[in-house]
Amino acid sequence: MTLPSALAWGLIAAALGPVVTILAFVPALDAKALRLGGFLTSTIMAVISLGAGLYALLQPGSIPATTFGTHIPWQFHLDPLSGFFLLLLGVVGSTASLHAIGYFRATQSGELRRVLIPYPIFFSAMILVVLAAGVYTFMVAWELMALSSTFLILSASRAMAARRAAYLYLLIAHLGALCLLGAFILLARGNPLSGGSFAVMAAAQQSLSPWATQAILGLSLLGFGAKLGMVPLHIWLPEAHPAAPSPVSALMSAAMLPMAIYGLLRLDWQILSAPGIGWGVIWLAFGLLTAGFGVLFSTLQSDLKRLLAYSSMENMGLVLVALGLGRIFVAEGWLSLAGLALCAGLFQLLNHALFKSLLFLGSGSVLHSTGSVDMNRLGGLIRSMPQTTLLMLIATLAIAGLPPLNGFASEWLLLQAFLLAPQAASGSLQIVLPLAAAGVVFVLALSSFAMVKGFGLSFLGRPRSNFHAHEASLWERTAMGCLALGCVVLGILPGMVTNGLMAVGRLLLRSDALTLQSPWALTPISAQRASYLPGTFLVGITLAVILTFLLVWWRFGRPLRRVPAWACGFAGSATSRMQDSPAGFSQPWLRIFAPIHSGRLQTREIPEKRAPEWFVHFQDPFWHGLYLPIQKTALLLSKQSLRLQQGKITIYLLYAFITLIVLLAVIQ
Amino acid sequence: MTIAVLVPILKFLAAWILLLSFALLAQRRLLSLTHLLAWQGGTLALSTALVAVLTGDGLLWVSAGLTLLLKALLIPAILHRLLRRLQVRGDVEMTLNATSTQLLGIVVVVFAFALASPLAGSLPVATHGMLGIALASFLIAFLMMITRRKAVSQVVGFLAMDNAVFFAATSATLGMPLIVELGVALDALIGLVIFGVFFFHIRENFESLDLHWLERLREDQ
Amino acid sequence: MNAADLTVQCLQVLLAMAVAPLFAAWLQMLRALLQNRRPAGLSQAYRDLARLFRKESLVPEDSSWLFRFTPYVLFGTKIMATALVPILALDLPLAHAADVIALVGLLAVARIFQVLAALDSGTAFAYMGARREMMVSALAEPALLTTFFIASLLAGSTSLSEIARHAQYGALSLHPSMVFGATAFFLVLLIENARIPVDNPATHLELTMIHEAMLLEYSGRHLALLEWGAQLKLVLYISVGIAVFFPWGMADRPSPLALVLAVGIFAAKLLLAAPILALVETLLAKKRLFRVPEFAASAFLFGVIGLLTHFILGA
Repeated sequence: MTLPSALAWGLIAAALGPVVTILAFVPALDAKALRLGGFLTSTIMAVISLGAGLYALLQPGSIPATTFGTHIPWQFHLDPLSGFFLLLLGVVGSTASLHAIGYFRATQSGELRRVLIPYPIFFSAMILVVLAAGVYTFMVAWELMALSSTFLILSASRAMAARRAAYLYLLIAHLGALCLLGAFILLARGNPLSGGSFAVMAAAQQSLSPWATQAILGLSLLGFGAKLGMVPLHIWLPEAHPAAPSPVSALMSAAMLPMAIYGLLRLDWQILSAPGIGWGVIWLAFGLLTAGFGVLFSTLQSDLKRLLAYSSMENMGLVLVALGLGRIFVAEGWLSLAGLALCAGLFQLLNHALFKSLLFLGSGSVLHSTGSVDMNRLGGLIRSMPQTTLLMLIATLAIAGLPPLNGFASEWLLLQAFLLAPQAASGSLQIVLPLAAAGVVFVLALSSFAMVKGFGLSFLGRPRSNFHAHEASLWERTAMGCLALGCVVLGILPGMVTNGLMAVGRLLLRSDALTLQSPWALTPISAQRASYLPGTFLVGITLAVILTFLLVWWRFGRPLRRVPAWACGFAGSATSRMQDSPAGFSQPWLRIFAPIHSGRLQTREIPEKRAPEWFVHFQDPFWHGLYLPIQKTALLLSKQSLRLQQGKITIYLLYAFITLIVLLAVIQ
Repeated sequence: MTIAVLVPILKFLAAWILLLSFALLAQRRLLSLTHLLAWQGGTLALSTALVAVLTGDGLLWVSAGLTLLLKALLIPAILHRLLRRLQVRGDVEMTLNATSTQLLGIVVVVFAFALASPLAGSLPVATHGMLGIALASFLIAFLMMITRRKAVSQVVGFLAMDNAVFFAATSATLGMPLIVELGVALDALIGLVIFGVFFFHIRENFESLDLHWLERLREDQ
Repeated sequence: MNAADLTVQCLQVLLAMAVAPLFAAWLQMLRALLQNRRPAGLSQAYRDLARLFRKESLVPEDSSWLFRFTPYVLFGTKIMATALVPILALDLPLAHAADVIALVGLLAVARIFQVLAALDSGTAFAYMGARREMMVSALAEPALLTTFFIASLLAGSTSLSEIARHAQYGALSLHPSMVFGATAFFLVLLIENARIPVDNPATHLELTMIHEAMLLEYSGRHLALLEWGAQLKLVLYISVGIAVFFPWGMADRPSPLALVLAVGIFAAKLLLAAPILALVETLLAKKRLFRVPEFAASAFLFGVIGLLTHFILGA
């Protein structure tokens, strides 16, 4: 296998997408055939792209772009950066598709077709985004990605909430795409002979004027930030992810959001290699803001999928923090530290793909099994869905950043990047770095709160309402099991990931900044300064726990007796409703952060209950502070333009006359 | 006792003074405020004594002794008695809640440090960080005066400001003329007495020391 | 890693396990003496543990394997944490496996399992304790991390052995940033170990308790493990504080003489730490629950000021 053949395999995988879509149009196929055929083919697509990506990462090299077509060139290439993101896509896509086989097993063929038509196109579009080597290919694939995911959001239900979510999503996606188009136009204008090819634009970027470079960097941050869920362009995220079906939510959150990171790395870092410390600080600041905002709102949610959506915002914010830190280090000239920060960011992205998709898939199983993801109704699923609970437990422990799982490894790397920075020369950096480090640790602590709340209230305790839950199907459990295994393996062998990222580091930093390490260890600069061996850790903990158990059992072991819970003597009258509701669990944060979320207690009527139910209604401050005023101004301005429409023919003739005069004057 | 041993100790004491200012900002109970002020005065006396050893200036010993007497013992005792006689109890009311005040304190500290770094070039090398710490303590004490509602805590803030200025004068610049120091100390003492008299007047008129009653003293349109 | 280092490691863990109940009893005795009560005696904690181990263990009927599994996980992680902290010797075989950040992560594992077990028992008190514990630790854990950041920035390494060595052979303790770090660490010690002014370790039925509420459903050998684990946690925190701020006296080489000396010095430090803790607990009153987040936030902000002092003043 060579690199061009890996690229060919990637393109084949992308080409399989439309095949499945066409298959979904065939009326003769029934639901089961559609489900198996469509999603199995999607899994195969994903596995192929996983293989191609892994190959590109481990056998690095760079090939010139393969071009199809002459008038509008479709250009594709495969380098380590694309390879890493292909790997990510493959991991998420394969497990999400496998899970979907089980998830949609009760769906009618009509709704199944509504999912299966855009789903493979969505995945193909993402593959093409990563493989694109020119502006046209990139933008077409980007738009295809946005459009197909809009249809996917609408596929689950036609309710008002879903339509609003899809509309918001499309709106912000297009705003972002406009910014991106502007950035690409500015980039291509400086290199008129490039034909939009990335390689040519990268080589000839010196001809860009400084303000053009700044404008490109700003526009690309806006454009990719809109896809990333960066504050303030995040309002689509908490609506869109819960509205889509769960395998699609997993794909959107764990695979599509990283596409924005790919874009940032490709455009701002690889093509435009100007090391701007200002932009590094801006990325750091926006990343921290996004992470803080996301984690805050995720602690307050009652809907499991919304909680996970806000948490995705937080993870992407942390990745942006890591990348911003990397840029700052590049500008200061500390390349090995920049490699460390870059490694931390990309490792975090891979981990996010693993545990976030596992969490979304698990919530999908819960939704399928109980009919609700509202934590006010859930509870006690550990008894009815034991294996799913175990897998979700692994995901929760991973995302909470607990050793020896993978989430901790990437957080450890990020913190080491902050700590190993030598005394900075610039005064502002002296203030930014410690404050950013303090902000990051605070965000990490809050995120573990949110995840423990999400897992604990849904799966532990006693059921808060009457539902009949059944265990997830074998397909779903297999998919989730693979992801959980990935979490554990990546946690114990983190050096494997850092070694794999060496090629990406070499590409982006243009030097050998990352060194080869043992797969079992993380030793960033030297073993004396910082080292972490998760394998030893795991062995130590397991040994200690087993030893404790054996000793206690041998000396004091007696059978346990099951009794009703003591509950301070309230055993008889303690109902399952006396457990915390999700709003109650995060009540301290409701109080402390009240100015930000303006939560108010409201009641709503529940048909099957006699008394109305209390819930907390939140307001997104950006929605009320930024978007609504913009909307009002736009409406006002457009109302003013109504004045042009007088209805009298003479006025319209006057407009034509004035236009003619003006044009004549201009030509003059 | 060489410089190499004394300067780290001085830096340590400087950190204690900043810590105590921050603790004053975060503290709610009035009696604890006076205790913290006493500790701050004691630390100040100790640091002045150390500077006296460092520079060999005899007058600084007198200064240290006076500081101990005045700032660590006399003034907190007066405040304590004042609190007893005014029968002020319980918590201090803050205009902002505690966490926000502390966050503002951090912003102030960052600002003070950033401001003091270029200024420190003209000082003896040993005391580079201390001007920043003194400025930060001063601004935190000022912040404390702004964010409190009971009059007594504003006096404590005023005295903490005085402490910070004194620290800047002695430790950051390694000594100042005794006359100036005496004058400043006398000002503080007189200010305290006048405050005490005012407190009694305020309480007589409004039955409470909450400052928002003073807001009624203005022209009503 | 040779046999001598391994023996020292095991010795250290066993010593900590054996000393923890003794230290708790000594602390209890000092508090009783300060409060004019009759002390219970130094072996009371051992007697309590023995009594609990012998009793039958009851489990709520709605709980799952998580509830039964957690006490062992907690105790195991605390033992592992004790193995990571340099108590007797500076060079430990496990020093390369984990550094301060991993230590904080390990304590977080223990805490999250405890919270999950409380959520599993399904009673209102347990939920109350779980929610408060998560909230307070969301503020206390960053404070702890910022303290460790200050220490590791000064020592140039995040490994606890390196920090301890740097402190032992350098003049670490008089840095201004360390003053703030030490204050923050002390406050976090009070918070995480459920001492007054945050939580009253003696009572089980106050509506403002945090840590005790999560243990309400446990009994018998499970409760014994949890109690012992809590005592071990206190000794662990004090050992970490000693290692970072007062590490003098630890053995550099595992020679028997140095080890005996190290044991003696460690015992002396513990002996001196207890009166300070007892004094603080007696003089302060327990804070209202709504003030506890402010307390934790103060600890975090002290840590941040320490970081700023280090970065900006270079001290």
